[in-house]
Amino acid sequence: MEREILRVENIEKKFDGKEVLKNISFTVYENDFFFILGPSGCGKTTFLRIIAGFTQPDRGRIILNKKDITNLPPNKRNIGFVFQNYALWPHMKVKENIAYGLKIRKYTDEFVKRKVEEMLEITKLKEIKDLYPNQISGGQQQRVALARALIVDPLILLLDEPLSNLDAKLRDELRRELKRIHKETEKTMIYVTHDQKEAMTLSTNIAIMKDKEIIQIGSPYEIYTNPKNLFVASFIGEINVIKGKIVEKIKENLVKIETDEGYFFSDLYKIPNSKDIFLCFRPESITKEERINVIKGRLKEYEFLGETLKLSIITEKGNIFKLSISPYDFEKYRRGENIIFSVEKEKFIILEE
Amino acid sequence: MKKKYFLFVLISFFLIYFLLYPVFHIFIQSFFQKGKFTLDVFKLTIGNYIIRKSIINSFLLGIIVVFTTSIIGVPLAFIFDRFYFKGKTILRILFLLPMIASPFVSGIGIKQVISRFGSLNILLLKLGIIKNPISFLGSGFLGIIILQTLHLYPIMFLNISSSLNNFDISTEEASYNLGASWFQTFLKITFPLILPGYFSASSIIFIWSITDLGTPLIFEYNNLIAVRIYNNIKDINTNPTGYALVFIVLFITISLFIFTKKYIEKTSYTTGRIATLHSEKIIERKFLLYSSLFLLLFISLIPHITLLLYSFSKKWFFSILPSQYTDEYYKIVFTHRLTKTGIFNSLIYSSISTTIDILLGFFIGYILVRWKIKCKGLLDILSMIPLLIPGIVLAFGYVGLFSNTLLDPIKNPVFLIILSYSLRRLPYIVRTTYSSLLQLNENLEEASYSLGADDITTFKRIIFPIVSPGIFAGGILAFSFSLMEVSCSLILAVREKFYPISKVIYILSGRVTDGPNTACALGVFGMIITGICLFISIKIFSKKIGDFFRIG
Repeated sequence: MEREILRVENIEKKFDGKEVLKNISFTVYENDFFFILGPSGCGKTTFLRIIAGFTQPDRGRIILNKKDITNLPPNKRNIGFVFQNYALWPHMKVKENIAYGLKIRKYTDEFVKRKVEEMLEITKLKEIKDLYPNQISGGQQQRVALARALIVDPLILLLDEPLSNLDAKLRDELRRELKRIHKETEKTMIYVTHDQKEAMTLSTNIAIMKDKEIIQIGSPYEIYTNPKNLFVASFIGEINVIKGKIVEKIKENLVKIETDEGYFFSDLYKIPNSKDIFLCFRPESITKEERINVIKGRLKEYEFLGETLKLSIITEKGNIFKLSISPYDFEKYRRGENIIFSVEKEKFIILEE
Repeated sequence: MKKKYFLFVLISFFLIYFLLYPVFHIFIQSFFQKGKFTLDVFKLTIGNYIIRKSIINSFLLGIIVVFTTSIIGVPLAFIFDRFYFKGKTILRILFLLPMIASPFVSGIGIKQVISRFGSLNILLLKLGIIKNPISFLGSGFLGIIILQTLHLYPIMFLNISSSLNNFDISTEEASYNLGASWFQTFLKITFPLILPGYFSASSIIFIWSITDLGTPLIFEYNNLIAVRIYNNIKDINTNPTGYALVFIVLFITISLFIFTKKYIEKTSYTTGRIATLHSEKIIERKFLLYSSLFLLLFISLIPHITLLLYSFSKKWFFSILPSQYTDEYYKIVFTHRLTKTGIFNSLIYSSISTTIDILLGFFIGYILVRWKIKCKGLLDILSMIPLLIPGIVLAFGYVGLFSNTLLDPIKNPVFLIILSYSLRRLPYIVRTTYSSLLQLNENLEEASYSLGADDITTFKRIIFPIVSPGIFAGGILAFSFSLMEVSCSLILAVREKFYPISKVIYILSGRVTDGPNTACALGVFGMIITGICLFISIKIFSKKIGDFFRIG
């Protein structure tokens, strides 16, 4: 049984009368790498600041390690925080930045020194320990911020878009580092981002946020394969959508759907309330075998992405679909050429209108 | 290119002759007697018990005023930066009001309050708190401290505000997050990060305090360096101790300036304010906040209020407030020969000096940013040197250097007064032009040239409209400072027909009967003009107004 470490109940917050968070509730378990994913301005940073205690919620409770910390000041919570801009203290050397939390806790100099060395080892910062923040690179600053937060052994660690100020290559590198550090330290982490790739590669669980609310919580696999609505489906990865209507139930779990591209057959795990639905499929859910669920179109554009070849086709009805196929088929296709493919009936995602 | 070098050499020569040469003259007179290097002058100066006491007193005054302005200015800056409350913008401006009257002027009013039979004693006697009047003024030292504090705390307030404005709140949050208390965070994070701003403000306040000549003169307190220097001017050609004292002041100013600049360079870590969500907390104890702010505001405006009351009082004797009012002193201000001369002279001196400032400041700023000529660094240094030379030093240097020459201030000081006014404000105008031009992308000018415009059109249509608001605001500020300038005015204007406003106020304040009242009315007039100028500048500069009162 997983041990609950953080429970958030019905958090609400308004700024100047404007609602920024609405009824946020969820639970985070020990060792989780929990992601809050959502577009800019959806309230995720405010929410993280509420957990840390920098902002007070108007309503709701925060339970950390079975203790209600809603009204506790930030310095009594033992929650780590990695700021988006790192917030390193410019007047302190790297090692002093890292040692700060332990010194506040009045540990002996010897203990502090040993711990700092350990942390420098884990975060690979040994060589730059005597430099000031303005003398090190963005990636190194990020690691110092992480080390500074981790050294005091917080119950959970909050990370506010920690990689957003770095270039793409460094971001990839640090993403792997974070994964390693999470594994080594076994720390429960809550990570806020708008980058779905970061969320998919690192998380154990994701909460999708939109307009002040959490829309769906689940593992990356669950969210990808079984999104709750169109917003989630299109926020996590790409998706093709056709409007349709269930016209016939052929047998248990198999339905016939009418669309302007013809009839489709789909497995159904849950009977939707309404007959009007969105029939969705991911670009990679297609096959070249043409038995049922066939779509015909003309190749409009293609993109070679290395690991995959992305085709964009347009049907006679003017619908555009994105397909993802093996990159080795690159030379088989020409722009304007006719293409026929089909979607496996198990791989449709049916969302209610 | 030749033209450029000609202009460069001309400006540099001008600055060297009127800034460095007087300082050099002071140095020579302090260390050389009959062509030989000697320390005799210093031995003579320091050996004098009264002068020694004056030096110590000046130091003490500077330190106390730094301390008292810190007590008021630092918490005030924090309140304005960290909390949200209604009326904040207007209150911020009100707290800058004490700057609009120099303590020299408001001193006349405050004497009426804290003298032996002044309002405060009468009030305390009536309330039965005291039985005999207390001598608050004492020797006058306390009065100087009070007035300088009330006049200078806005400088502390502006500097700390500007440091806090460049301060990333998340560095504090990171500290709380790691378990530090408010006090620990202030001590280890906030204070070290605002220290450069604090240091800069303290240096300015210290230098201002020890070189202030007007306030001690009004309080008739002689045991300060500034007054000793002033008293030495009369026998400048026979007694060299004045030079030694000026040299000591110059030495303190320059050392403090260099030390501050080095310190700031070493420790200036602009963290850059990050738009943290709603970092301004809504204050809960509103009554406490407003009552303390208004009380402080009232106290700091007492000198101004009493100045105003005094200027309207027909009878103010043995009572808390005047018992009879009149507007006759204002009539005198605009009809009396002496006051009319003062106003006319000051307006002329300040207008010309401001024009020189704007032209010279703009040229120097432009040369520094745009021209690619060798040794332009020299011009940069030269234009900043006035920051190192207090008014009293420059004026003393001029008297020493130009006595018995064509420019002798006893014969006609107009040129030297205008020059001293404009040179002392030059760094501010240069700095404003420099930063405005730095923000002006060179491509904008190039685009104008590429479309066929010549130098003059490009200047008129492109450069001037973009940089003028900054220079204009700087000019207004320079004008208002010049209008009420004290040290140079008191020292250089010897004959009545050349008196500027400050000297007229000083002369009037010493006259019995209606003298002080008229002085107050003239002071109020100056205060209103300064207030309007400051208000316009604040409107244009907004929060950047603090840059005018900073080193580094």
